[in-house]
Amino acid sequence: MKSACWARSGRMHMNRKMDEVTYKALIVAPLLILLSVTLFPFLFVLVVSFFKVRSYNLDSSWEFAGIQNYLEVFSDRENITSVLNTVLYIIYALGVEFIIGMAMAALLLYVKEKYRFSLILPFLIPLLLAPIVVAMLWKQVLAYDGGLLNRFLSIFSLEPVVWLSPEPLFGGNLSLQQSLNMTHGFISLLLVEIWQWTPLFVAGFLVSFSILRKEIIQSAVMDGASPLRIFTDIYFPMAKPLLYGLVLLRVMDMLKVYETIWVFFGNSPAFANINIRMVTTGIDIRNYSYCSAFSIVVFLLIFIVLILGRLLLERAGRLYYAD
Amino acid sequence: MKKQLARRIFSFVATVILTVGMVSCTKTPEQVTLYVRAGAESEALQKIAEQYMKKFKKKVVVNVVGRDGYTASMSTKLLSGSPDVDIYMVPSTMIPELASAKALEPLDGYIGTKDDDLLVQNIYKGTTYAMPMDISTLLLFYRSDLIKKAPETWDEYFETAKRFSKKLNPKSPTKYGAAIGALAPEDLSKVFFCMTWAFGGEIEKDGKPIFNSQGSIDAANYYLKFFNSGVTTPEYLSWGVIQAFEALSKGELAMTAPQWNAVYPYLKSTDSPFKDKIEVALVPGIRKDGKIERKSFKHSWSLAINKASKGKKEAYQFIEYVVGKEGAKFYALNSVGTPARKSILTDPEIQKKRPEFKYIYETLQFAKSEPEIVNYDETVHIVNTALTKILTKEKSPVEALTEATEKIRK
Amino acid sequence: MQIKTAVAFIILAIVALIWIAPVAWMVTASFLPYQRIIAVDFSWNSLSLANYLSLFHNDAFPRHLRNSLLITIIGTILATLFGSFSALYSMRHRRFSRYFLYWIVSSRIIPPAAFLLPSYLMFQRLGMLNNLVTLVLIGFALNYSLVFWLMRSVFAQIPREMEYSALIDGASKLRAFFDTTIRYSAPGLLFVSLFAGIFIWNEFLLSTVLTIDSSAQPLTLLLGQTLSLVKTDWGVLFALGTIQILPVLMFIAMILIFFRWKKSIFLQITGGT
Repeated sequence: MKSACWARSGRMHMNRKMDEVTYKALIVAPLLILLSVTLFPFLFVLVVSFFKVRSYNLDSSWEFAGIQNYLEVFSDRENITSVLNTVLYIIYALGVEFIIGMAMAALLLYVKEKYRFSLILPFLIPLLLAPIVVAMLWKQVLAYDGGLLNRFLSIFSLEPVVWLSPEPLFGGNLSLQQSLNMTHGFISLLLVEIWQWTPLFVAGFLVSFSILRKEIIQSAVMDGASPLRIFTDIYFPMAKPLLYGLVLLRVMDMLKVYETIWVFFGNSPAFANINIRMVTTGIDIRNYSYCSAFSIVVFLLIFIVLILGRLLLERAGRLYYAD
Repeated sequence: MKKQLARRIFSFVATVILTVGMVSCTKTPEQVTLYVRAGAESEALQKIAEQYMKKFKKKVVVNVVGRDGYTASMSTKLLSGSPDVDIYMVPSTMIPELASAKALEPLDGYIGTKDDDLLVQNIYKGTTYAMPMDISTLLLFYRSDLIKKAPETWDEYFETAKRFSKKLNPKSPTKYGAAIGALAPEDLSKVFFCMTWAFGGEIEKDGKPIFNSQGSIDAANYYLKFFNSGVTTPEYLSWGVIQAFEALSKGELAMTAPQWNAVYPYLKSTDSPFKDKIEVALVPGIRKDGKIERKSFKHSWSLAINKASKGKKEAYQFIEYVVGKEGAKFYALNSVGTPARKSILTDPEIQKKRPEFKYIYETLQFAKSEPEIVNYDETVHIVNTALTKILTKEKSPVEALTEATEKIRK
Repeated sequence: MQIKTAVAFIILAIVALIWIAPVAWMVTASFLPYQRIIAVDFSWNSLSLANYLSLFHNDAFPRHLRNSLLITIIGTILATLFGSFSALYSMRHRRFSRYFLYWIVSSRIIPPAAFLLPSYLMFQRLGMLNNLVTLVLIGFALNYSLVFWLMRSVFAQIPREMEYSALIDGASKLRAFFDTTIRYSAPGLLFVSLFAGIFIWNEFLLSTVLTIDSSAQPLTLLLGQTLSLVKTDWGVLFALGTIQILPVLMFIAMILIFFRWKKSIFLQITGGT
């Protein structure tokens, strides 16, 4: 009996050790793959960015270039435009999605809870569609000749519009509109983005509303607080972490936009964002050292934004990535 | 038990990955594989490949790839050193870069004597790297039932276009009077170079590129006038050869110049009700001292052998046939392609079937081609950026083109 | 009160319909011939499967489909397997995994495009361009952190005490693990893996850069290429698009069904209130 106990506990010990080994192996393997797909190429690119490397001398000798590539990257207007396009895209899209999302969620509150889900479900479909499909679909919808939207407009006898062009929206001061990206084409991009992602904000706001306890609101109302007061002093502090998290999530995803812009405008410099610019310099022009320098700069920029975002989150009182 | 489970899972996954990896290699030996861009040239090549297979009983596989981003995908594949494609269809302007990257097989050892009948020699730094399969130039196409005499100068072209655009003349039988290709990246830069030359400008000076010669600036101003006048589609930035071709075949367009010669045989091969009413003429020019001075554009699509190919001999045999006199004749008579051989273009028998050859050959006498440089794609991108800024009125022609010149010289 | 609800309902219903309209248009139009699409002309008798059938005229579509299926299935299995094990481990061994945690999460945040040139150059050197293995690795790498992150909140719902009590009741270690932790997290695991699967199925940018021809390209790339062919045949494109979004539609349908039957599953993932 005693030896049986001892044997069993011995086996348990051995099992536990093997468990630890298995666990560790299962952690290390993906770590290695992730590292090799991210860190090692990153280091390679870092090195390349200090030389003069093009497609035709990749296999032969690399001329040392110091920080020349970085100087070129910073002085090239196209890079600045692409960063600006990305930033404006994020700001405009976020603003509209925020507002519409909140409005929709507020409307949803009026509906009985059991119907809410079925109402929101069709909204959720765009979220999971492949961006290339969305881009292709909207390219047809926004086409000048025979596009769905222009046909829709013609029902109301409105003139067809060239949606996918860099034309400014309104007459008057062209350069101001262009620098603020108030062009037909940019609005089309925003339209697609808003169409696809506002539902996420609707869901997010809905969840944030449901966090609020009815009793707190009722007691606040009884205390005589105005709706505005309830919003700013009760709702907002409670919802802040969730909303910040949502915003951060969307910002990070908006940095990944590529298909829509590529399908609509190719690599036209007027609409290029960071991703398009990277593809242009790396694959179309094949100035590898220039593209490497640009990639590193983009990495750093995003890193800085990330740190800022986290600082803001911490100030919101609760870390989003809670354990 | 747990460890066994983990081990089993791991080996299963590994096996699957290995199988998948092996599945990815699919190339049968002794077949010649090509990689070509979709369009008139690919259709023509497929026809002649069929003929080659019939005649020589050897297998040829033609991979047709989308037009957009062809040079990028083609150079990615070629530069990656993978041996699964033997022959690439390359534009003559890319040969310097690809040759410098040592990705192309030098062909001097395979070619016997120099062939003077060929209109293009793809020679870079003294070595031949490709053989020209198809030659393109820019012409004028117009509706002969509506326009009695083709416009001879660019001003005439513009004035005629006004008469045939619905926006300016509600009684016009056609929707748009004229179309100038402005689709990036290819049409926009190449057509602009053609216009630069037409207006007496240059794009190369003392061995260095220059984009702000007076001719370029005049061409840019002409563009501004043309595209904003209403004689053409408001979607002009998305109109390339395909859109112009479609508009012509639907009867919505009265003229297009400078336009690629491939439009003509394409039109003839459709069942468009207007196909017999569209004629070809020499591209308009500038009137100088009573004479018309014309300049046009030429470039060629060539076949090059992948340095990493495992079947270079068979590949060259195919190229020799396609580019040779017999193959070129078949090419000219049975497809929409245009071979780069003087004897074929000037042969009266062949001209009966392909009447546009007469105009193509004449145009080639005053057509210029782009400089062959290692960073061609970058040059095109810089020019297109400048032109887009000009056309969206963000910068004036002088500003944008000077900026572009400075940029490319760095 | 009644009126407010009704009005809200109507507004939301209209908005929902408008939101869905483009997708409904695409799916319907995929059954129409090209001319009708341009004319937006719905005559019921012109509905046909012609666009879908034409996809099988050449090799391209079957190959791309095969590639997409292989990449998605294998990539999802890998990401789910490793992601959930890592999540489990990190939940149970908090001390060691804090930095790992931050690193994983931040790898999600860098846009894939920044890895474009680096991975292109690296895989080119390794001769692994245009290879399904490469794409599986990329799919795994991009979604590992998603699975990790989501499975953490799923596992957080399952107290370890359940496993301990099963052990005390005499079950073997493996049995205890499976019957408690795995069983209760299974629905969450299923949903998370479907989620990751959809993202891998939808991947476009890195696939474009790292492949060259149809021997390794996924379905999304066929869509991109067909868009740029000589003539834009919207019918065929819409058919391809409908096929591409089929998994998503099925996923949503599954959510609906599950919702009717087992509401508790949602609470598991959303952290339930």
